[in-house]
Amino acid sequence: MEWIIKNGFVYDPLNNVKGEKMDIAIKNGKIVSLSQVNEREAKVVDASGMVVMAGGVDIHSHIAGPKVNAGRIMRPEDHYKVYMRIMGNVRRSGSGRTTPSTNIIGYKYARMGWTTVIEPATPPLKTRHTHEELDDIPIIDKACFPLLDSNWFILNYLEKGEIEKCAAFIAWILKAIKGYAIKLVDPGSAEAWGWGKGVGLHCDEPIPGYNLTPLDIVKGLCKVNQILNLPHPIHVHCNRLGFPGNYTCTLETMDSVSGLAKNGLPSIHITHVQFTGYTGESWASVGSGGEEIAKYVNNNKHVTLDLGQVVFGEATTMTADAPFEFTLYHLSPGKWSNADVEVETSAGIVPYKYKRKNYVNTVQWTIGLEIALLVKDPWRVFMTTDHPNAGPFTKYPTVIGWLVSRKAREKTMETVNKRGLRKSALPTIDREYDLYEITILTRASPAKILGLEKEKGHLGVGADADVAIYNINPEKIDLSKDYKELVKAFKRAAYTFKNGELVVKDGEIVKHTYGKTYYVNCRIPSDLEKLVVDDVKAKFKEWYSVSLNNYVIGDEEIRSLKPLEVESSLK
Amino acid sequence: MGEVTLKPKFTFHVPVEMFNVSPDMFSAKTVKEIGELKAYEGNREKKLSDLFDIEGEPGGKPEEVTIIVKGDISKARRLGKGMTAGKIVVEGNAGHMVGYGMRGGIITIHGNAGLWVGCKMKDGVIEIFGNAEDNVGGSLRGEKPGKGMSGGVILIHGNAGAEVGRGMKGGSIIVDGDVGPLVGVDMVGGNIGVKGNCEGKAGARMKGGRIVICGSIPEILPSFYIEEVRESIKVKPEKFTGPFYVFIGDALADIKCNGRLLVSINNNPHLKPYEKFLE
Amino acid sequence: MFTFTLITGRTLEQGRNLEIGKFSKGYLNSVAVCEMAKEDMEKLGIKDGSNVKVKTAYGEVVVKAVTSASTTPGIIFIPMGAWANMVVNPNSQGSGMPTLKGIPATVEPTSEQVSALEDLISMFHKKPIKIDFSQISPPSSTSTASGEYNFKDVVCCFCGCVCDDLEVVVKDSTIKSVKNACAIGMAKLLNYNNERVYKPMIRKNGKLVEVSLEEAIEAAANILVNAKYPILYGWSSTSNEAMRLGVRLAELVGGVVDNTSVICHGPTVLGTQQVGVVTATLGQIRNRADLIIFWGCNPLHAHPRHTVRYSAMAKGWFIKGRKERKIIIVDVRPSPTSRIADLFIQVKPGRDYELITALRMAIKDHTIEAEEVAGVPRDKILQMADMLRSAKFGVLFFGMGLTMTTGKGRNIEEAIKLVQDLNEWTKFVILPMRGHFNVAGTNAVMAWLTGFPYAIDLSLGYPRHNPGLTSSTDILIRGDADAALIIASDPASHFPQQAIENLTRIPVIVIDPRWSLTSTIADVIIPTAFVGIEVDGVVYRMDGVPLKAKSIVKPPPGILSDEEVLKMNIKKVEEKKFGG
Repeated sequence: MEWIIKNGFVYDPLNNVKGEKMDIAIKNGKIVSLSQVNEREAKVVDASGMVVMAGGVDIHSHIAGPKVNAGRIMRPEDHYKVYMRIMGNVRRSGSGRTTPSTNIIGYKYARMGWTTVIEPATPPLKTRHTHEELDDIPIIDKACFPLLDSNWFILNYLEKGEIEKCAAFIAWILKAIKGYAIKLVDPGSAEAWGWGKGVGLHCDEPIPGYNLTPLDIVKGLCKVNQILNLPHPIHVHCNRLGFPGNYTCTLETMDSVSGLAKNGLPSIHITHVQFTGYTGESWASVGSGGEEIAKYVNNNKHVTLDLGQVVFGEATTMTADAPFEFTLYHLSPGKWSNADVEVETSAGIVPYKYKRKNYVNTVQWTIGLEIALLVKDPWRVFMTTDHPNAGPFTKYPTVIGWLVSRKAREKTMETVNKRGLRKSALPTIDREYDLYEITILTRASPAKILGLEKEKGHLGVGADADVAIYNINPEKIDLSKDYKELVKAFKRAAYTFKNGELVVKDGEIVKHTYGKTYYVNCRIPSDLEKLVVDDVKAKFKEWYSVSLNNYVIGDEEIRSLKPLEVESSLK
Repeated sequence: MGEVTLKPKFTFHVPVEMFNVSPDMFSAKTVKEIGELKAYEGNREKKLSDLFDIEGEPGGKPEEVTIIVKGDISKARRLGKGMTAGKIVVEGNAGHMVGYGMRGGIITIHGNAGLWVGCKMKDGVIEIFGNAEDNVGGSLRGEKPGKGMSGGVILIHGNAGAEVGRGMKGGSIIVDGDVGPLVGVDMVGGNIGVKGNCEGKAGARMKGGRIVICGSIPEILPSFYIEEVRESIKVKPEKFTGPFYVFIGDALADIKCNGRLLVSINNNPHLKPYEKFLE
Repeated sequence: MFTFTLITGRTLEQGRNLEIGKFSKGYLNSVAVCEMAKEDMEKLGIKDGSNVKVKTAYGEVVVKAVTSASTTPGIIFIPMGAWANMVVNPNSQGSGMPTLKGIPATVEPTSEQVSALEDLISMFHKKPIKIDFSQISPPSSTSTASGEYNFKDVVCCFCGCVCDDLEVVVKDSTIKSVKNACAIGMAKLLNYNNERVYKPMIRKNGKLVEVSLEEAIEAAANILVNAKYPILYGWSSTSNEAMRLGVRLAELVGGVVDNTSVICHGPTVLGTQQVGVVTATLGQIRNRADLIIFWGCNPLHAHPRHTVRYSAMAKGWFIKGRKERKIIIVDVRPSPTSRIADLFIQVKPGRDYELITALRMAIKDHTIEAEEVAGVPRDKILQMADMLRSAKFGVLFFGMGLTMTTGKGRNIEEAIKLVQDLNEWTKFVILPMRGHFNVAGTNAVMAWLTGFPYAIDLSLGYPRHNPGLTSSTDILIRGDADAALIIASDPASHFPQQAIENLTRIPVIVIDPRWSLTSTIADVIIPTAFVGIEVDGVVYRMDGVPLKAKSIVKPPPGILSDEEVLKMNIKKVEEKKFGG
């Protein structure tokens, strides 16, 4: 199938295209030059007066896996009012607002023009489940990050200083469970939580049973990441998430690896920084640490971060930070779920509602926006709501509205807690993102930080034909004043293409397809691999309750697997 | 005048969704228009006229409408959903979720009703002459306490099942017969009066409101404390004569123990040991 | 009038004989029995091994009385199965789970005979087919793979333990020996070909006639497409891959999709829906737990390797064995498992909720006014509460004793709250003892595809869930369904008799490798292959750990997997609904 998207205003930061009128040609699922398609036979989309960009890339959204599913099961009430009907042979049914079912996830992302989404936290022992769920999410391409910071093998290697063996182990496990990057969550806390401890673990506090602090784990895994040349930096959810004053932990974590940056590439990605950006001594005095964090990021190029922006309304907090969820259960009594995974990690789930008039929730709301607006380099900031922790991903257009329009922010600020506003610099910030910067934030830079910039996040020749066309005319619209139109346009894309197939038209699903799953295949010397596998075999039977052979996921188990081949620096 | 009669055209086998059968939906409509209203017979979308013979003339406003269902509609779901005024009378059994989210008016069932009578009811009156099943006046699963019935009156002349008044916030439920276990579970307010016996676990997790049991109950939950003896108590619109033991609880739901569980003294001689805790 | 309390449940012999064959004498002898205390038998003048008639308000059945030390005066035990279901209480208290434990009953000697399995349901609307197993023989294959293969790390597909360390020797396409499996797992692997179905069949004029697969698929698709409220039930003994197709099929035909958790741990879901659940994987428990409670479950019979592999006796990383653990067992009778207890608590039938509440009060040091709760002296409750608080890592395993008794989901809700409360003091988790080997997986699949884990009504084109209304048990008991697809399960053996009666009034499609009681009243039978023996499939253990069960022998010629049959069904239904 060949397509020509004619006459649209193209935004493609990776190729330096800033809204020029261009035609985009699609053939065999890829972007090709116009000369490659048969202009008479190709189907045409008239994108006059519309914005054309690559499909959105979301680097952190909890869309699949055991804790996501546990969230669904414990919240039937989240599924009564929000649902989708089956539509003929085109669209399937589903339900859920903050814990949507798989078809709804794929459809609602595609309807907003997003085409690649990363599940950022999967427990290795249960990752087969994560892949099954990812396989049932239609349309989007995906990958998952295994949780590795409290893994017994890794803790033992790090404690002994065996960095190379640790690296070899991580290369092995990424291949074994088809993972993409190294994920750390409140590093070391899951091991402490195995004994019910670890609440509010400090960065420099030793983990029970180990001569290691969370920062030792961060540094060790950062080194491992460099050695393996993995496409994405270590992805870190800092310690003491949810505790007033925790912004210092974020600064310490970022600083701990400042010397480890290589080749000008970032050495650490801090995720949902809003949740670890609080000043203050208690909930009564909590404030925004956004300015401090933004200042550090502006002065230090080795850091990237994503927002975890709060959106008022219903949310479901779900994270591998199980001790934090225990704390939240006390702060916001209601339901609480927990699921430890032997040898590896844990998870907690607590439903939550962000209220406008609530002082703390208002402070939380300001932080993400504050950081996005104060950080000067749009290539190192990514838009997320840590779905569904700070809000559902369906609210991305609203967040974009706040970023492009001071008026939008003011309108919301009229409705929130006034005392909370005083604890943040947000009311004083005038900056407004333009459409080019929004494109960077939501497509170009996430694709780049994932190491997928060859085929994702841009519309140059050779890219996957993942295209979003929005019904908004940059020549006629004043984003600052008419942000509502931008929000509306992003809520329902005029057209979305996935791998060269038209999947969304006029905001409705017109085709049910399945994307591919990326994982990293990192090559290491075979003798080192054998050494590490022997280590694993020796301890597996004593530690785990399953056989090693059954732990490893076969290639044939995943619908459409795509390895990213990487060569490590190991000898 | 204002009366509309519905007679099932055949014996229903599968569930029939009747959420459009209410005085609000029927008012100011002709019989033909009423017949066009959507209903479901299982997975088949139907019109009311496919399922019922419809006769009569509805009034112009909901309060002027009386709907009479002549026959058995035990397969019905959500009869009278969200109605604000007017009357529905069923001369037979009425199915499940009768009066879902009702805001006013009166529903009278001459036969039995199924599950979730008066689910999330806000106001109005439901009277069941036969038995009701479980979750009378209840909230839906997963909803927090207080999301059940918040106003109105439900009268059941027969027996009711488990979890009567689950998650209730206000209003009254009166059962002439017996009730199953867990009456008043998750209750935060409102009144429940049971003239017969209760299977047990009364008042589980209640934070407020009142439960009266005139018959027997085998055991009181250990999270309740005896407070006093009362001669009688009013559960609108009725008055119950005791004497009653008054227990407060549920200490595990709220240590303030604002819930009240009244249990007949005469019908529960095995509860006499509690008297030693009375001054 | 009623002098006994009847409970039903699993036994080792029931499980073993189920795998050897439901229509076998061994099965009848192990399931059509009523276990009674010696004192009760003497009082009523019933001889051990003689027939008795058990009567409840819901029915009556003739079974053989046997003396058992695993019961207690006043309590009688009938193993789960079609005989028990003649007398159980169909009332689910709006939960979907009938009351299969704690039913008032009488027992009297009788000269009547014990009915054969299919005769139990012969009085309803469709006469069950009597199967002559001597006439059924496996088709000869044109090629038999020869040679001996030794398979290691085989994933067992019987119960929720999903042990994955089995060793199976296959010679000339036949399983010759099995190592590491329990008696039931072994019985399945060595007997799976017993009572097998080899050809698709359609019921014509009261007889089952062999037909081609295409004809059977066409008949099945017609039944489903013409139905206004079909149920698609079972699933727990097949793979996730099959379940995903099942949800699609249910969505296409606008029916209700449900699995066996409705009659097992559905109430656990109901409890989780109210308060959440605090749990851990089995390895975490094996490595760390120094206090184990088994509440209302009998692992030595229902999950035979559980105590050795994962819990009481298992060797963990921090906790080395039985000696470093305390075991508490709570049950209405001294179950076979209770002999391993450090502390055995006998709770009054139907009062588990009250006992848990008392424990919660004791944990928080609140005064309990009553001197006895649920038949347990207050001092014993305080003693148990202290043991729980002083554990380093505690776990509460629970089973049908909590889900089937009055209170249903609220019993589990209270147990979860107890565990949540204990986390103020120490580390504590709870884990349900899941029955079938993939009930957890099929719940998970339904949850991610629809938003709800079971009892999902898709008749209006989108998922709705409300056990009591949308549970297949209640639907059949009320007679709401007008067609049924039964796959990888046998509801005629495990649902109350009112449900079976209604099942005989409607067209029934059965997809199963073996003959079941449900097949005897089916209108279309499509035989399939065994997951974990003949075909691959992903299954989830009771703690949600996903494993891939692999094929070790080929299925008989012409027998496809559940996946393939469902794919054919879906294609046929799509053709009928949307055109070629």
